[in-house]
Amino acid sequence: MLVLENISKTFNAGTPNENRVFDGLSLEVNEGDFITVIGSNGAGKSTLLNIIAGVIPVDGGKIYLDGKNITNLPEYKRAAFIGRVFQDPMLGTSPSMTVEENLSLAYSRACNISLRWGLTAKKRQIFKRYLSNISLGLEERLAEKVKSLSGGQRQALTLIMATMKKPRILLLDEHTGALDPKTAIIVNDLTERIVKEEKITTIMVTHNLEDAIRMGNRLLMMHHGKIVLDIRGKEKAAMTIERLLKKFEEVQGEKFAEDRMMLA
Amino acid sequence: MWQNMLLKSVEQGLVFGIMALGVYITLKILNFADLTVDGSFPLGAAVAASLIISGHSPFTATAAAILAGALAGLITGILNTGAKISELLSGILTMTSLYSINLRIMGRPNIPLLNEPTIFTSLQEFVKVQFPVFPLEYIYLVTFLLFAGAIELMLVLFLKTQLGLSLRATGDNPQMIRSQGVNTNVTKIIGLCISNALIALSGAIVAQYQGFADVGMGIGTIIAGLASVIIGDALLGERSILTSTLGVILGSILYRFSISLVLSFRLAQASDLKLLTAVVVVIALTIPRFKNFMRGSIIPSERG
Repeated sequence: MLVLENISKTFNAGTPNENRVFDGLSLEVNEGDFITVIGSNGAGKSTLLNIIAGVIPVDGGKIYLDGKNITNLPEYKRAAFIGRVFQDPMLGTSPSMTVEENLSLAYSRACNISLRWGLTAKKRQIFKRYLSNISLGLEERLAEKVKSLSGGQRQALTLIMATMKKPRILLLDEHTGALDPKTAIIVNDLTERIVKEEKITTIMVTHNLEDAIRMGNRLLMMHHGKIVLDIRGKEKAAMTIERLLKKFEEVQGEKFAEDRMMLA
Repeated sequence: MWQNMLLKSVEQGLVFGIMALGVYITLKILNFADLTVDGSFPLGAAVAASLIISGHSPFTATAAAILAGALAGLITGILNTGAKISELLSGILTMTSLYSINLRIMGRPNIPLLNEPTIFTSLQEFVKVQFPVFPLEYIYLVTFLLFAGAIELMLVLFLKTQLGLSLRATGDNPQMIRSQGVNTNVTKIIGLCISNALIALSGAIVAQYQGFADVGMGIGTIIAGLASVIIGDALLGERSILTSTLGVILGSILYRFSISLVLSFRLAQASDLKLLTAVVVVIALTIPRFKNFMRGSIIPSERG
């Protein structure tokens, strides 16, 4: 369904800060996959998502979605079929606009340049229904500015905005990474529910090994721009945190106490 | 004399308020510091005055001024989004080139309109015939009130459309609105066009109101617009689009009033006007901080 073919990407090419992130990365995502992606800092996880979303152009290689070459499609055009949630709760919503105004932008994703009313009684009804589904009390706060919401509420709102108009693929970039543990659980549960109910093909980057193993049907481990582990089904179900950590140490060739601490 | 001064300030505040609404669109909605203003304001005056003296109807002339302003905004927008020139520099480039263009349009630095038909002479005749009892000295006030009110209302309604929401999100969080499928280059350009169209419209009306167009009349327009937006912000805050646009017009009136107050007390002479404006902006910008500072020192902040 989504195919990355021989992707290469170098940041700051030709400067002392040259950073070759990908050199011939290939990945095939199947319809209905819920992929969790783990890896140390600098492995290229976020860059991978940014390349799929079209935020970062590639130096070489091709990207296909449903057989169509989208390598050179700009970000705003890809948005018609890609939903995204970022790590920073501030990034996914417009803070000085109200909850319903934000939802309205998501509701007409990819057809926002029109002179129709942004908000109508009918739309408000739909938004209310969506929000009452997630039981965070947001349905009572439609007319409030988003900046008055908590990080978790904003992340939940962003998730709804990303999936309201069903995307072909959902990209989650450590979307619970900035939340407190309790809120992270709520947002993760909501993620699983929406992905399952809507059957959305999803790629989720996470630093939480437990989530990576528990959630989804396929797990990727990345290191230095390469996919060093790609397991699914039973193999994934049998995976444990200890074995993942061991695998980490194997590919890194040495023990990174820092990584261990962060991942444990 | 006081009554007359008040009347004049309100009139000027309303007509320059249309310009300030234009500044509000770029500055507050798009978060784009657009300096085209100092060029597009006299552009509107130049286009309208030139067309009027060449025999066109003042209404056609005013409509042409609006289009010319939108075109100026388009150029700044293309320089910024297409040629990737910074916001400030794009505006400065357009503003500077407009100085030459305005001279070309007018053919000379100043066009008097004293004995020419303007939208006001047409209006005065209309009122004289239809409403003979109407006191003609208030005709500007009433016209400007209706005019500024109508434009404010249209702007508020526009900002509630899907496109208007996209414009607001472009200024608020461009990353987010791009991920919702909006080309922020397009929304920026649309905003700049609407903004400069309003500014040129204001210039066209001012020229007909004061009876001349002058190539130098744009100097400091951006600061006056800025002052109005900031004063409006301090007065009414940012509760909703309706209150903040109302605030901009009120700010414009208050700004004109304070300027004429200073002038009437002979605290300054007319040539000190730009300096005064800058001082008003500095004061308006620092008062909120001063207020916060005072509050902070009397009531300790919650975080301790």
